[in-house]
Parts: sequence; structure tokens; C-alpha cells
Amino acid sequence: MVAWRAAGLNYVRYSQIAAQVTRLCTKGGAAAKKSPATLKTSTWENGKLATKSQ
Amino acid sequence: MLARTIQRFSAVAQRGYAAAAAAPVKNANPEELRLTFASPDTAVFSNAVVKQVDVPTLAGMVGVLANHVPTIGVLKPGVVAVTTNEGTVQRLFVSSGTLSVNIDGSCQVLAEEVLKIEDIDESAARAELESAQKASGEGSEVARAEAQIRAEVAEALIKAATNQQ
Repeated sequence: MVAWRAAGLNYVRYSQIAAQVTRLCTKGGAAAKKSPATLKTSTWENGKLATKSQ
Repeated sequence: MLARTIQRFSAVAQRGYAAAAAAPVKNANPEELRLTFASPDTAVFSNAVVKQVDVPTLAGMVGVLANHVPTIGVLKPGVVAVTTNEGTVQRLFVSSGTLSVNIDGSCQVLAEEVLKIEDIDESAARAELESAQKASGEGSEVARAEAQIRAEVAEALIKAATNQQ
């Protein structure tokens, strides 16, 4: 078994690290050009919207 | 816990809304190889007919030609080589992702990060390799395993940049 699997990591984590390192080793900010992600969250209570998305 | 979740989200980052999926190709010839090669923000090939695709997977290098047996696999950092019908070879670095080869002749290579070979910063990769190798000998088992992954990726980047694979 590979070391990272033995340590309890899964492939999703492996992929995440691999992508991170790849972005880090990209010339001329080619990785920085991409637009950042946005995340909207809203909470619901008893089927009703408690706070609007922010 | 919440902080960790947010951190995870920011680590994946750089994803927007998905575009509508393309309609399936009708009357596609199962005797040819149709490649879809994409990352979350770019499509390098979209259902293009090609001659051959070489993909690095955790189970080893997989070469796909038309009429390949249906296969699934996960990618490991390395160079994907696509041979077009004209015989030109396009080489791109992938960090990780999935490979699927289907019975209808379609093949998907979906990578988390796709990089042109000339966009690899070799000196940054060497620095990353060194720091990862240092870190792989200390800390918890998980920290050591993560450092080993970083070292593996950096090594693959250097190999790709110096044309060793």
C-alpha cells in the first residue's frame, strides 16, 4: 500500500495537494490569472430562510 | 470545524458555475477514439477524434487507442500525450484527476490542474522538492505522507520540464 493511503489519506486529498503544488510551480502567475471562487451561504430553520445569502 | 471547512473550500477554489453539458454525440462511430480532456476551467479537447492518448495513472502508464477496452483510472502527476490523427503530439502536464474509457469510443481525461510544459517553473519545482523532502522526515504520519506527495509531484514537474518522460 502506498504511504499516503496507509496514513489515512484518500485520493481527493492527494489530488488537492498535487493541484496545489502544480499551481505553485507555474510560471508567470498563469495560475493567478484564474478568477477566485465565491461561496454563498444561507441558513434555514424549520423550512424558512433564516438569513439571506451573503 | 467550520474554519476547517472554509479552509478546504478555499483550497479547492477557482471554480465557477458549470456551463450546460453538451448534448451527447449522435451516431458516433465506436470505431474511433473521441477524447475529452479538460480541467475545471479549460477544455483542451472536447469530443475530438484523435489517434492515441497516453495517460499516467496510479496503476501505470495507460496508452489508449480506438477500440480500447472500457477502463477507469485515477491520474498521477505526469505528462499526458495526445497523438492527433495528423500525427502531431501534444504534451500537457496534469496534476491529478480521472481517466475513463467507454465502450462507445469516448474517452475522458479530467484533470484538476492542466499545465503547458513550457509553463512549468522548474526552479520553483526544485525548491518545492527540496522543502518537501526535508518535511517528509518529520512530524506526524499524515504530515510526512503529505510531504511525500508534494515531493512526488515536484519530481514529476521537474521530469516533465526537463523532457525526461
